[in-house]
Parts: sequence; structure tokens; C-alpha cells
Amino acid sequence: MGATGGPLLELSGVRAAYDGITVLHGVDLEVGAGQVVALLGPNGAGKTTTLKAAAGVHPISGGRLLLGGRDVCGARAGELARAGVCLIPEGRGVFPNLSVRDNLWMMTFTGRTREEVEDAAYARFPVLGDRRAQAAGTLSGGEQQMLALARGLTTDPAVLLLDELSMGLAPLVVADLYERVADIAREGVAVLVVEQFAAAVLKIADRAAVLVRGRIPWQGHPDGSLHAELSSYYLGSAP
Amino acid sequence: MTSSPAPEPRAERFVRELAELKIPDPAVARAALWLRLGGVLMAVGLVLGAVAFPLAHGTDNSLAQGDALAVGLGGIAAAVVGAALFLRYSLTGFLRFWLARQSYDLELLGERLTTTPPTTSLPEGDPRNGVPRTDPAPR
Repeated sequence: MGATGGPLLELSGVRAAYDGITVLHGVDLEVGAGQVVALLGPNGAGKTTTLKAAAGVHPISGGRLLLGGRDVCGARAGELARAGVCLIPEGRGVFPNLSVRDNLWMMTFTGRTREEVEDAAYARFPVLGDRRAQAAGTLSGGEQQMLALARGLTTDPAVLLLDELSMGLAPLVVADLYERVADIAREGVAVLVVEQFAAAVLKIADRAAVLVRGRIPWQGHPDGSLHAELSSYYLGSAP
Repeated sequence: MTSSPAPEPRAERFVRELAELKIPDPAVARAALWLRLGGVLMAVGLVLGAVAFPLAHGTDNSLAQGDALAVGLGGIAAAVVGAALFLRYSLTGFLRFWLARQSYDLELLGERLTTTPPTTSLPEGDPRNGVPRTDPAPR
């Protein structure tokens, strides 16, 4: 929970649309400080749109987006990012032709020096230190994801939004990355993870929510009942 | 050696920074847009209405006069609609201010009435009608 006792990130009845076609039909979700919440669901359910709405990147057409208890509907994404909302998009978003070092250099816009950014990144992900001169495009998928995480963390986020961290990665790498995410959450960061493949993220998630066709039909503690229902939501047999 | 103050937790700093964030209210921006549109329509309508008169008088061609009449009528319609919009949104702002002022005055009056001490039961020994009592003996 946040400093005010409430959640750091709260979506209340959020609706969002693309060109008049509504894709989110009233999403309710809460993430407290130090919590990891997994947002699961099949392709096209609206998971990425939910993340974009939470980051202020996609405008919401109804409902409320509250950060630290304050309604921030209408705030620019840049302002929210400066306050401490960090979105790591699907596909990592690193510059493939630049070296690891230069990718990290991009994050000095936050006011931190190049040395500070690099030291923080290499302390958290030592493998990046070994590859500092290597072009980011030649890193393995897991290392690229680490670089994306390291870049995001230099902004000192209070709310971290992760989109499909496991995409294209081997299960062992995914498990390692999610352990790092759990470490980040233990530092008091509110983490919302969007994931299509539930198994890895549910090991570290405090709560989970299932998003199907723009609605959340189930959310709660990830236990056996979720595993039983998840397949039916994915396969479309649940109401 | 003095100990440095403990760093503010990230969540608390986040809440504080968000509280300081100035977020434009979209409803206010929309009202301002309608107000501006009303003003523009009113001005354009009046100009069109005024221009239509010399246009109609400056020709013997009845078709051109008909066009000028249409321009004039359109101008008048635009001016009426613009005036309605302008009045509606400017009056809203004024009335909102007036209402806020009114409720503030009422609250102030209410506070004054509830905090004024009663004057009917003055304790013994207190001055009455501004004249102090000269006999201090209890009754």
C-alpha cells in the first residue's frame, strides 16, 4: 500500500477505445507499494491497452485513473513518467545498433550522470557490465530484457509497468528475470505485470487478475482455483 | 557528528510529487472553447449581417440580391447562436462565482451568529447598559 495507506496505482471502471471501438469495458485494478500484480489474459484481451492507460500513454474514455490516491486523468504521460511511472513496453525497446553503454547513456536525461546510471545498472545486472561495449542488438533476449529493465529503473520508478516480459525467452531466463522483478518490488515499487504465459509470473505475484475481452471476470490471490479457471478463460468456455 | 535525516520513502515522494502536479481539467478547457466559439460566431454573424445590406443594395440582379439575403439571414442566425453560446458559458462562470461568494457569506454569517455570546443572562457584577453597578453586595 502507498504512503496514504491506499494503493499507488488504481484503475476504477476504466474504459478505453481505439477509433471509437471500445476495448476496455470498465477495468478495476489496484496495485499497492511493494506488490506484484499479474494481469493475465489471452491475446487481444486488452492487457497492453490497460498498461498504456495506466501509464497515461493511451487516453481513457471513462472511469478514473488514480496514482497515489490522486485522479490523474488528463495528465500528460511525460508528467506521470517524471513523477515515477515507468512503462517497459513489449519488445524491450532498446536501441539495437547502440552499445549497452550508449543505451544506458540515453537515460541521463533523468538528471543522473552517466557513471551513476551505469553503476546502478551493472550493480543490479552484472552481466550487462561484461557486455558494456557490445551492441544491444547482439545481446541474448534475456540480456536485452535486462537492459530494458535497467534503463527503466534509472528513472527511480514508484510504479513499474511491465509488458510481456517473457516474450521470446527461455523458461529459465524468464524465471531469473521474474526473480529480479520480485527484488524490485521488495524495494517498495508497485509492479503491474502483463503476461500471456501465467506460470512464471504467478510464482512471484501477490495478486492476479484475469482480463478477458476488456473485462476482469476474476481477480484475487493466485492459488489453485485460479489455475483451474485460467484455462477455461483462455479457451473461452468460462462465462 | 550530526546524523543526516532519513530519506523520504519512494511511495511518499511519489504521492507528494503527484499532489503538486498541475493537471488541466478537460471540462474547463471545453467550456473555454465553447465560450470562444460563441464569441467568434457572434462577431462573424454581425459582420455578415452588416455586409449583406450593401451587397443587396449594390445590385439590380434579383438572384444576387437573394444570395445577399441568404448571407444576411445566415449571419443573423450565427449571431443568435453565438450570443446564446457566449451568454450560456459566460453566465455559468459568473453564476458559479456568485454562488461561491454567496455560500461563503452565508457560512460567515452562520459562524458569527453561533459564536456571539448570549446577552440576556449576564452574571452578577457585570455592567448593564454600559453603566457599572455601584453596589457590590450580593442579592
